Amino acid sequence: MLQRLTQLLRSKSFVVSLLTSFLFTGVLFAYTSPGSPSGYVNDFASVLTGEQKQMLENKLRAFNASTTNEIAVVTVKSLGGDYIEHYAVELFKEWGIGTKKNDNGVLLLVAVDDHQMRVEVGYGLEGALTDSVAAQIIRDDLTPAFKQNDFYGGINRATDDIVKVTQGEYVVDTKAVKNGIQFSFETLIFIAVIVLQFFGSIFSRSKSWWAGGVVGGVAGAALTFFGVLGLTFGVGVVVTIVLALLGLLFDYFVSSRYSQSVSSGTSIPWWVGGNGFGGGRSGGSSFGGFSGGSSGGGGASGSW
Amino acid sequence: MQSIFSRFGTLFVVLGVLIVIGISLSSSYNSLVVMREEVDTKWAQVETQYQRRFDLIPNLVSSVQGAMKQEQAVFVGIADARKGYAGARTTDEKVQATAQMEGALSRLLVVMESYPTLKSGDLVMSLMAQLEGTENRISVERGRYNESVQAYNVKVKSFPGSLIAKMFGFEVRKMFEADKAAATAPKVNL
Repeated sequence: MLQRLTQLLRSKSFVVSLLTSFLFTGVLFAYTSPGSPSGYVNDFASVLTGEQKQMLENKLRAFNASTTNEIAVVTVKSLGGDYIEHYAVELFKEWGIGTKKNDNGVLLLVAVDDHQMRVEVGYGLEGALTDSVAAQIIRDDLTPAFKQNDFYGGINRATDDIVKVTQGEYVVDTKAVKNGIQFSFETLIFIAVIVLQFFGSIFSRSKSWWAGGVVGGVAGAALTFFGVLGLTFGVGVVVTIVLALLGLLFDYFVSSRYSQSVSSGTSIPWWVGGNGFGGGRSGGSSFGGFSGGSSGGGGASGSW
Repeated sequence: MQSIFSRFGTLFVVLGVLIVIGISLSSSYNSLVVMREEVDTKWAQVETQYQRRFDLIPNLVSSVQGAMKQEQAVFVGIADARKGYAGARTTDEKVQATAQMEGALSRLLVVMESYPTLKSGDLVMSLMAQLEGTENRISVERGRYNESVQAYNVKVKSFPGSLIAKMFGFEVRKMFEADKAAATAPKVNL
């Protein structure tokens, strides 16, 4: 009876949460992502030749290297019923065009079948690329070219003008560039192995079988308290309990294995504090994605 | 070691439970504070864009007023709305004054449609582009404000945040009504 009731409650709240999530994302705004970026130029509508795309890509890459500004060119077939202003803001947010620190990104969006275009400007470039300059670029560069189906010509001139007005804004910070540690999945596993070995060798040699549980619980509580990983209260409690149990199990396991190995005289496995090593490195790709910038609806839209 | 644990076992458990409860309550308080700050920051963003709109409008008005002498009623409406916003103190009053402003502004834009030569002037075109950009920024920042208010209100209303919220006086915030006219930026055809 009780079980059935909880089941009912669970399914009902699930339906409600599903409904609200639809209400807030699906029905109100009809944005659907075109996909992830493959470079500065993303020609989802296939209106550029490979050569044209490469030329634009090279220009924007060089501009990024000298100024850190990120200009994204995106063509899509249709907006799927969304407003171009909303579509541009959402896409800008999803890709994070511009650096996180300076918000120095620009998105040039062209919806080919809808005959609409927009220049969306990141917060950090609103002073250089003002709304009226953006409107002028749309009026003078894009509209006349697009009317003659010359997409490359329009986009090429527009990006030239955007480069011209935004190039003085930011400079490459030579001493602070990309010195931050980048945590890849492999490094995380590598660190986890070392930490496990460290605790393993301590717990297995200590006589207690519960210290691991305490350490796990404290770690979970600390995570919740400092709000690491964005844990909310409920999740935090669950994480704490799970970590405590895992720690307890881990300690119990390594302790028993250790005493077994010692008493039987066999070598101690590496994961209980013997010898061993693991880890790896990841290589870099040519385009690492955009850098987390944001925009707030600045720029201009137009149609042809 | 074992005997100590069994002697003080209950004490350990009670202590542990107390610590976990204390930590979770304080983390819940902290996240309420963070979320309230977030809501205030988002509202400040909305107000910044409102201010920008109010700074732009007199320029637009003065550049078109001369050519639109017979449309005095429109300009009086705009002037009244500006006065209303300047005098508004609370958030509610400001929202009301902006709604009035939006009405007056859209009337002006409609009236301007019948002055094609006026609209193609360089200054007016630039002002219109700025106004259009500002309207779009307002709708973006409003949307983000609503998102932050929604997250905050959920936290205030649900357990255990509701306990902390009552104790320390965190109040539910109001969202922008999804007014049909306000949800989309008024279209300015250049």
